[in-house]
Amino acid sequence: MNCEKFIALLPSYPDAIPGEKGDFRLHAAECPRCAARLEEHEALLGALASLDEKVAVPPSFGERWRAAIQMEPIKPGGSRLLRWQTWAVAAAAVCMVVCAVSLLSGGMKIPVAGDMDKQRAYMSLEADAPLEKSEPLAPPAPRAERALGGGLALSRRPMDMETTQTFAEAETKAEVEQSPIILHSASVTLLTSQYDADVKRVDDLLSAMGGWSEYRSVWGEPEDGDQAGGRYATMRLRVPLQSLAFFMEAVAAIGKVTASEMVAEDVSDQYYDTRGRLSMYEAQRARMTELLGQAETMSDVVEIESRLGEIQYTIETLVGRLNHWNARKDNAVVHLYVREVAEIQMGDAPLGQRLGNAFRQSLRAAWGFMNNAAVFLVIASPYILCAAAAAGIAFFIVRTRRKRK
Amino acid sequence: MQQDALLLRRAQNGEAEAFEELMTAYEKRIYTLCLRMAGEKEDALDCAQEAMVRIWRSLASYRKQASFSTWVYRIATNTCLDFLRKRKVRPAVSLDALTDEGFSASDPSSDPVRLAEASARKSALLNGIASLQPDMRAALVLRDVQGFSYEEVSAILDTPLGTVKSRINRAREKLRSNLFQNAELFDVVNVYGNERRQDL
Repeated sequence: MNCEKFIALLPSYPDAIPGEKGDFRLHAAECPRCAARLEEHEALLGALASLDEKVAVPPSFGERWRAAIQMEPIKPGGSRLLRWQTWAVAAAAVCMVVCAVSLLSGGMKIPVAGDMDKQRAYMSLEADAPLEKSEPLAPPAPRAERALGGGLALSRRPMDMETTQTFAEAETKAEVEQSPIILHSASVTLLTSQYDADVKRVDDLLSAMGGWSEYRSVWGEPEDGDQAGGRYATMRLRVPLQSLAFFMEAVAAIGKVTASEMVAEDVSDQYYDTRGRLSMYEAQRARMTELLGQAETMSDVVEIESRLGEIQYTIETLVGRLNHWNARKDNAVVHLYVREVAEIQMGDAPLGQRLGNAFRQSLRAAWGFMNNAAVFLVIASPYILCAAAAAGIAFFIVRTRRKRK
Repeated sequence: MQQDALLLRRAQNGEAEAFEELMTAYEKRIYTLCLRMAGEKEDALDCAQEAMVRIWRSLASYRKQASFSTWVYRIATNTCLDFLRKRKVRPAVSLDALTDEGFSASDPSSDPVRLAEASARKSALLNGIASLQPDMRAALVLRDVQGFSYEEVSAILDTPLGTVKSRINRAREKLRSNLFQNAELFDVVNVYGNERRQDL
């Protein structure tokens, strides 16, 4: 090590140069000037480390901050919030369980094909008077909440979010007033015997609600009486939160619901943490910009600009994340699975009809199995012939040897 | 640790007494951090009190992303940086500040010459720290005065480790160059001063 490198490394001694500590000390032992530099550096560190040794905390400090927090009118609300959230989630879970039990025991009426006329009349009524996005949907909402386990009760929470532009200014306020950020999502599986018409009804309904379709895929072929046939559609829909309850109820009326799920994910922690970080980075950016104006050397300018670039990148990332959550909290994600069937099974059909249906299904299945077996035999026939020939040759050889003996 | 966790939970439930008990362990370090950052005793008291109130107000938002101590010192440091940004004008370190830190010119048990040297040394050091830019000052105070590791300083300042190292190195370098004229106060040879004179 030479003096130049020694001087360059000295400010970071002793903690940042672990690998070169030996060389560092060796050079100091050989070079008196560098030894003096090292001594000066260690004296400085020693002086800094001992700076607070004799500092006594003024008694007035303890008295002042204790009095301040006792008089502070704003109490931490996080725990109460957490407790409230816990209770809300627990209540929602209980409602879901109760509804699931009711569904299984037949206590809750499932929309089935028998109700279709009535339900379509309801739909056509809605189509006659299309809903506007801002139109209050208060009447249907409670029914939907009952039907879907009360999970939507969470959507009644106030949401007074600021835009990302005002985050830094609102930081202190936000620490006190933190509205929960809930992301709603739902999934419904529908059976339908009128696939095209029912999918169009879903589209019309979605359009009337002000929602849109994010993703859609369809596979399979139109139902032609074969039990194994039929189309299957997967849709990811975005529905404005205020219309979600009504949308779920209306979709459930279109076909037979075989599964439904509602999820309210609380991302308040991540949201407010991100917002806090954003405020901090914005403050850092302001400080760095101020420092940039005061920078005297080019190396200072380069370093500050480099750091500013990092801060700007982080800010943009955080803003993007917050924008994503803001969009998600205003528009629920609904996964809709539509399965086309030949006919929708009646839950309360008479025994004779159910037996007849079961027997027809069994016959169809047996016929399908035989068809598939025939196709399999044709496909496998070359291999079967080869195997039979090999077995025949082996049998012939064995028999010939036995005769010779 | 479990005791602290219990106190923290109670404090988050709004129990001021639990908060007071919890913060007793941090009280001195927060005050000295504010003292080194702000320079003056009155300013340090204001900063430290503001930091305590901010911690109390923000306790609900603490979600254990970082250790509680890191989170506490982060708020305290940010409070000091906010204060410095608002103040802008840097006051010189007064004799009162030295007296508050244990220096007594009338201490009969001490040698007057040594006391005067100690006073001059401390004054030079404090003025040197006060002359640093806020970000550099925060990094230096946290590392060299408060004794946090580089990683802890990085977490407290929420700044990349490399930037923290750079700031600390530059702060030490600047502090050393501010102090080299008074090297005799630190009982070392003024290497850099001698070199400069030789260059002239």
